[in-house]
Amino acid sequence: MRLERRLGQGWPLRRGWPWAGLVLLLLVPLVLPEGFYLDLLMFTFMYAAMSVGWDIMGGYAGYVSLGHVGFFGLGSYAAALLLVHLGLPVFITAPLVGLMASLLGAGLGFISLRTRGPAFVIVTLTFTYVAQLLMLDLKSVTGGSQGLFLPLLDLPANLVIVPFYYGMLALLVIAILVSIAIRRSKFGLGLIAIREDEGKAEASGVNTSLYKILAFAISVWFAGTAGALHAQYLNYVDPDLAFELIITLNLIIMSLFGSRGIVWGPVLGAFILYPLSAYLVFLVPSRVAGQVHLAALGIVLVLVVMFLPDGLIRSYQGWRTKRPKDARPLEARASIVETTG
Amino acid sequence: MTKDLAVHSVAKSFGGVTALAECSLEVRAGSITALIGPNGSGKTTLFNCVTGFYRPDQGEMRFGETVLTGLRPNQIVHLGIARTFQITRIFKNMTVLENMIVPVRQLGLRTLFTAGIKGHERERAEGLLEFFGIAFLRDEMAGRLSFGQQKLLELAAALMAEPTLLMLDEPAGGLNPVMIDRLTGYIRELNADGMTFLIIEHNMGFVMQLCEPVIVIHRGRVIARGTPAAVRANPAVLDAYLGD
Amino acid sequence: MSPGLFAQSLVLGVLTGGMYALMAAGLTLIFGVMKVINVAHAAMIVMGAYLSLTLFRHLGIDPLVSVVLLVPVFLGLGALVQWGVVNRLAERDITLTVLMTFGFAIILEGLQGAIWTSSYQGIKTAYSLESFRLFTLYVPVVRLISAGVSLVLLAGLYVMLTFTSLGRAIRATIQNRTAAQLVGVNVRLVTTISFAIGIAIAGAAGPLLGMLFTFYPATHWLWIGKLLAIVVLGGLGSLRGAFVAAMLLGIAEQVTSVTIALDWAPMIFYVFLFGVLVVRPQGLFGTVERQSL
Repeated sequence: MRLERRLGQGWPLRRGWPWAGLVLLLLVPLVLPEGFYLDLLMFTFMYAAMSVGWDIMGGYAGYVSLGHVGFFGLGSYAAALLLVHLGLPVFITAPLVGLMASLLGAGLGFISLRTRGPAFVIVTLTFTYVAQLLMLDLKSVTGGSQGLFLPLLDLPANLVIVPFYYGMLALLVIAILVSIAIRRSKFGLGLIAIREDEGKAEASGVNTSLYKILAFAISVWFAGTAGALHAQYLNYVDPDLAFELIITLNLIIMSLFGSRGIVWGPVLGAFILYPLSAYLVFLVPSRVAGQVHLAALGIVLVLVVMFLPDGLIRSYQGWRTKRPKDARPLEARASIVETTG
Repeated sequence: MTKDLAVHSVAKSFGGVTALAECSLEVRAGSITALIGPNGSGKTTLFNCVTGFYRPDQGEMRFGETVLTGLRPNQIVHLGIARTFQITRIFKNMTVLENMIVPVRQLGLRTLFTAGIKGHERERAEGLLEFFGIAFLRDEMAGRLSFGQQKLLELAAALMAEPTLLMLDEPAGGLNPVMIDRLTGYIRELNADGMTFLIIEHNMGFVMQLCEPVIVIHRGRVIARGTPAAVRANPAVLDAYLGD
Repeated sequence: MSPGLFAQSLVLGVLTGGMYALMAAGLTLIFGVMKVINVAHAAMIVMGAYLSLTLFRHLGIDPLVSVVLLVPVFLGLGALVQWGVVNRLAERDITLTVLMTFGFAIILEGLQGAIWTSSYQGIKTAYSLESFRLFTLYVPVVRLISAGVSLVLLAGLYVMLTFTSLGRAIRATIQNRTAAQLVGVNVRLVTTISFAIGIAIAGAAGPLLGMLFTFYPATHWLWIGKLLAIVVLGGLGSLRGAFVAAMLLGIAEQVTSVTIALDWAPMIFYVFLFGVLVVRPQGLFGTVERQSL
């Protein structure tokens, strides 16, 4: 804080922090080749990237999706099928798989985002289950509940994590850059206007349906792409793993916890919560671990919604501006304006 | 460039309650037209029909040659009709300047992804804020503005859409006499530059000194239209206000 | 499809639809007064099934008796949760309220898994497998019972909503919250009561679900989808619509499972759900939602 003030807003280090962090993260595999930490960081990147994506819809436009894992799972399947049937490597198809997810997202958006009512919640809530059911029932293509095995990457066992590490890191960097770009564009301004007051946004000339559909399509690109990479990471995909509810739940909690509608909010949320949850799961007896994990996440979601709905960053900002230095400058000035003139 | 607004036998009802019945009226380009009537007479419903928030059950609305019926609110804004709301609506968690930029029209997807606030847009926004005397607030969160400032911001932001017809729903409501004088001045000045106004207002002093013609609606129909003096002398208008 | 098979599907569809109507009634009632989708609704129903299962296994209490036992318990819990937690939030932010019910659903699913494991369960009573013939038609006893119980409860709900002053207050709140408040309805209290009634109905439906279907903690995702399809087809907030839609979809499901495949029967709900949202977002009985400006 004090350092910041002394150096001034324009000091390059302030803007340089993210780049310094990126360089550091790029170097990690060279210094620390052990699987455990790379694994942990890779999953953190994956969740952070998807959360930033989720937040483009949930934070900027204010429409919370309960179905992002549906796109993640379909992304996994699409990548797996492209690899198994056409021999196309996942690291090349992943962005295209993401685009397929975006198209699907636009379709679902067309169904549910033209009106303002609860349709979006309904569609995203049920979509995951439909997608899972489809993958289960289309046995001839997807192998049903047996799932699909993906050919392994041709790499030594101790290095196999590295491409995924960089892949997910790249996805995270793209997510942050896209989110920043949107925040600074008219599109982003329009989305925030929709969140604040959709009717007013419409009366201001914002094409709200188009904006929302576009935002959702962009939002799910990250889930689809991450799903594709994740399928190759596991070398396997089945309906249970691909559509794990915990994934959607994580995205929501991370965004909320860090702060919705702020670029770095979901990133912060993911970097705090993923390592924490990975550690805590160890403490639970494995017999009930999955169930307890689920219930615990549900409790965390309810607690965050009740007690920290603005998230860490925004709460911190609010606490900073509430200090006496800034108190009532507007009121004082307001009275001048209203009585003179 | 400026166009007439023509509303032709528009009707709208909500679950059996008739809000507008065969309502026809015209707003001439360049006029400051007032729309008055007792509470619940259908004034705001008419606004909502014209601006695309409600779809009328029947009737037709034209702006110049363009048929408005069936268009979305955002399309209507881009034809040159902007509005404000009875209860002031601004984006409270956005800065004053951002509030001004939201109504700027985008052409196609490409411009959508360009910088949020371009230099010339900022200049125009600041010019308008200057005009309304709230430029010093440009970087404040809009929600922290006083009531009167918020009303001025809503008006200024509506102008950013470059309308030729501005529809104001009770612009003077809740303002003190000093602010009302200022507002009158702004409207006159904008009108002198060619802006057409359609104003719903309950403050009769404000209406009588500013607007002509005055249109009176009652139970969803136009019952009188004319100069302020003529309308005031019209017995049907008196009946409408006193009758029930 | 032969007429006999069709008649058979019709009978099974109507009997199952009766229970679907009961399950959907609570969901649509809660939406009506709060404008919030209770994502946890199906998880609460499944919770009712588990409780009934435990009562049956350990105390030998018949699921039909546990219907009666669970109603007051769920009514109280519903009132408590609504009054203590949901209400405060709902007045601030509907989005957060939806997320909270999503959280409740997850908590219930996790709890059920931790307590009863995630394997399939079913409530098998002495009469579970009994059936009789009506002319040429096969009528399973449990389906007839569950449809009967559902109809009785729905009739009670209907009478309450139509003829009591509480019912009038609830209907007024569903129609227009602000107007109801203006004419003196205590909408906060009405909301709490309606939510509690919705949850109580979910509790009552639990044992019925447990008798008719196998269930496991994650089954509520299947059910919330089915219920949403019913509620959306009937028009959100419309009880009468939900009833008709439940019958239609119950029959459609039976017909699909006979003509196409059992696996694809759940899909019929989603076809309807998405189809209705595309074609007629306000559902069969919903009036055109007046856009809140």
